[in-house]
Amino acid sequence: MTLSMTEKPTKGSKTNFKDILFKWSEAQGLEVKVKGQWGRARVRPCFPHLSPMEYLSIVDIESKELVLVERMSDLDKCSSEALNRALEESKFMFKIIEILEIKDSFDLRTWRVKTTSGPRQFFTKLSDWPVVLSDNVIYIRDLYEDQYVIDDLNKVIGDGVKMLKALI
Amino acid sequence: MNLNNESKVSERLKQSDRLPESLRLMVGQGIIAYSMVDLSSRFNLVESWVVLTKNTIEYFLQFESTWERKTINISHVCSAKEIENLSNKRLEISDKSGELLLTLRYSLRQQRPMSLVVFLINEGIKLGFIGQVNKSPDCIYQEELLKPLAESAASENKSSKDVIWRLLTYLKPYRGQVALGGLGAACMTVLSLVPGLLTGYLIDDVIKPFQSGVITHKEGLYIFTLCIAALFGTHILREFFAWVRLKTMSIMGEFVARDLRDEVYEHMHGLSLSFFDKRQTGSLISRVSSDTDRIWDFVAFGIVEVSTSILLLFTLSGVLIYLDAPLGLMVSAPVPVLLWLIYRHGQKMQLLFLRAWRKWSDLTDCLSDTIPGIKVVKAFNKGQEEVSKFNQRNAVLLDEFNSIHKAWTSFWPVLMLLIRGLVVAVWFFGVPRVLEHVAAFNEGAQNAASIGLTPGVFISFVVFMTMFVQPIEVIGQMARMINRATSSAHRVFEVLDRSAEVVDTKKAIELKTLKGEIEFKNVTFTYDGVRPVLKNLSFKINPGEVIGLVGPSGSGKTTITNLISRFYDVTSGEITVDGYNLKELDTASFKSHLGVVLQDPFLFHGNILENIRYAKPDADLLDVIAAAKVANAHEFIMKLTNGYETIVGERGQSLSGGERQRVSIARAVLRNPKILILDEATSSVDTETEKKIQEALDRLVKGRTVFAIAHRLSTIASADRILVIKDGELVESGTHQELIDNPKGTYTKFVTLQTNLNKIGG
Ligand SMILES: Nc1ncnc2c1ncn2[C@@H]1O[C@H](COP(=O)(O)OP(=O)(O)OP(=O)(O)O)[C@@H](O)[C@H]1O
Ligand SMILES: [Mg+2]
Repeated sequence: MTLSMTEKPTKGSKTNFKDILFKWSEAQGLEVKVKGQWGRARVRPCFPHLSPMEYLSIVDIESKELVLVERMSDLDKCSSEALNRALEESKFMFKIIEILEIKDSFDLRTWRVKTTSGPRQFFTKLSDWPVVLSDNVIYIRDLYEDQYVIDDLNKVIGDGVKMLKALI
Repeated sequence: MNLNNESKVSERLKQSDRLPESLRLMVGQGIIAYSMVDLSSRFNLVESWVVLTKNTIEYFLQFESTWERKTINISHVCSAKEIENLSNKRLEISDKSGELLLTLRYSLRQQRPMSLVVFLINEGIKLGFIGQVNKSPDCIYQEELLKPLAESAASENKSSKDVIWRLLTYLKPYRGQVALGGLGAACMTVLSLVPGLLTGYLIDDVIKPFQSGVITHKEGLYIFTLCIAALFGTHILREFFAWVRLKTMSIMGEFVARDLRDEVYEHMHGLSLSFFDKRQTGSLISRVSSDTDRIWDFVAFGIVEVSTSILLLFTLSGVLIYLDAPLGLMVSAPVPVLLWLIYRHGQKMQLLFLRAWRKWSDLTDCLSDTIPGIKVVKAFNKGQEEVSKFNQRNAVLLDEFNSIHKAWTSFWPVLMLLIRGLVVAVWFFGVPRVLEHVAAFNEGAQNAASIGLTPGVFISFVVFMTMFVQPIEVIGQMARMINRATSSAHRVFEVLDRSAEVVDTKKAIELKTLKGEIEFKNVTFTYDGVRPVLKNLSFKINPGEVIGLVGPSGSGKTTITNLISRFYDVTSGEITVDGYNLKELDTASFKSHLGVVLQDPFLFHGNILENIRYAKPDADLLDVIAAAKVANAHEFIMKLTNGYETIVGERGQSLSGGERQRVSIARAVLRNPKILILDEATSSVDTETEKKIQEALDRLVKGRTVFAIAHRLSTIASADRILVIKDGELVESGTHQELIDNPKGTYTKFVTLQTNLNKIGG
């Protein structure tokens, strides 16, 4: 049954989400009820940058896909809240609110930023450029593969913004 | 080195370089490993620590000014699992009933030290306690944390000054030339002041006295001729010194660059494979090629150019002030301002260059994507779209380039205007004083010489003013030049500073002949210092035995052959060859008895003949053909138009995987090694080719000790003995028949799988 749900993600097909429930707890994380059985699960967006709230792949602890949730609105309120909470973790990126400085040195670019999680200094290679998505959204991936997002280029502040604009 | 790492963690990553002292006190002795855990459950950056001791997992969370401590006994833990998210990981430690005992969240920056912790916990779950690690926990933590940074950054945080000093030490063997070049440059600089002074002299001491009848026409003409001769002589001398300087310095620069290139290249060959594992080929190539070239540029021209410019500026200012203090000061004082303006302009240009580079890389991405992928583009008929994408990016690039041109073209005229402004100022303040002087002179005043400004000095001033431009320009660009040179030097020195991990002992034993007996005694090996890839491996191979190595991907088969080839040294235990410890053998003499066919056979750019002869360049042509025949390569080689002289390798005719394998087998055959290592390619080849390779191998193994890592049943089944490796351990060994008799054995499963696959394959 689980297979048939994920096998054919035909457009607009209505999966019956009535028997699928989610819950979230600090202790156990995300849990999903599929076919009457509760089990621990994880959620991974198929398009983490393009469309992080849609097309969510729900997998069990062995990373086997249980179900593909196309839209949150398919779920009941309780479930979508639980899923939201879990998503917070799986799509977490450092959100940059201020760029204090961007400095190029011998072979690294050093970024000194303030994020919603706290201040951070990170590095990218000189030849690695930030990725610009539409609507002034910018993604940066550092040497350690950590990801940083600037939600709106026009709203970010700091002395380094001028330099950032040269990089995009 | 350790100290260096500490400061790198704290300065570059801006986080604690080690477990805080207070936590060490709380845990006490016996810390095996630890890592910082940097995210809270609400995804704020925090400092918390997970510490492993023999029996416990300790977790410390900072809570205001105290540490909240949680201790978990390893015997209660049943699983430790890492869960990957986009930009963070979560570690779940749970007990037997599946209840979560601890959940830790951390950014990917912490993932290396954390994955070690997880590895140790998982080993601990099996053993019942957490095993010891050879290195100190601080050392492991810092090394693991810094690895990604260290792999992509050459800069060891040294200052440019140190780098330049070190670069200058390369000039030492060429002291004579440096002195000569420096002298040439200094003479040239001083001589370039002569024409200006001579002009002044001509006016004040020849024309003026002649005008007022102090000297006769004949005397005047005589001095004038002398002046011309002096001027001409000065120019000749100046150009002579220019020639001396340019020639000695550029030739010496080439020597320095050659020395560096030789040294780097030679040093690279001495380095262990682990150095190359971590770096991109391109970056290593550029260190030998373009980086040393930039250094040449700097040594040959940069150093002299900058020092002569500084010298010229100072002497010019000095001479001007000497000639006339007020006017001289007026001209020299704005120079620092001009330099600052140039520096500022340089900064601005840097940003513009960066922008252009960004757009440039967009454009080249376009090329490097579509040209290799041209088949796909054509298949989907996307040519037109790709063209318009290219045009679009090209247009953006044009804008960037144009703004660069706008910036520099508008800056330099303004700067020149400022310098010309100084000339005008010299006129403005100088001419009235000249007139004053002339008036006093005409009136026949006694002290006329000290009144106002003589016309000669004024003319000298005007001439000298034009000489200000060039040194200012050079000094303005100094920062960029030094930057370029030091970053190149940095990268070169980084290679030179590495020391080889595999080194011969002082009294290395040279083996003239080799029987080919190999023994592994409790060999343990790790690439990273913690995770063992081979675990306590022991086996003995008799001379002339053919060994088949079998096991799942990643089980450590290639690693075993890497150790026999001495690409790496064992972590513990020992490998003996004919009873000698491999570490005590002379590497060169040992390798002359060793033939290797790598998993991914590599052919150098060149023809097939050269590739086969690589191991033995003086081999007879007939021997080459014989070797190719043994390797079953002769036939296909002769089908190529140029036979053995067909160019292969990167840009030449591309050979198929099976063909390349056979050429590299021929290479190994030609060497006639006592020990032969064959790492069979994982990729499948058709049955026909497989048969050919198999035939080649059968001929090859006679009279040698052979390690064959095989994926194909046909290869393995013909081995004298088969070793089955799983997770770095020897799980089964014996002949094909012996092993297959055990219905539950790993080998039997493998064979069944292979046979089934063959059936599917038909
Ligand atoms: N240079 C290296 N640095 C770090 N780890 C390595 C390196 N080479 C191999 N490893 C790791 O060591 C383990 C054993 O690798 P190895 O190449 O020996 O496997 P293998 O048995 O030859 O596999 P395959 O059949 O796929 O060739 C793997 O987990 C691999 O990731
Ligand atoms: Mg291998």
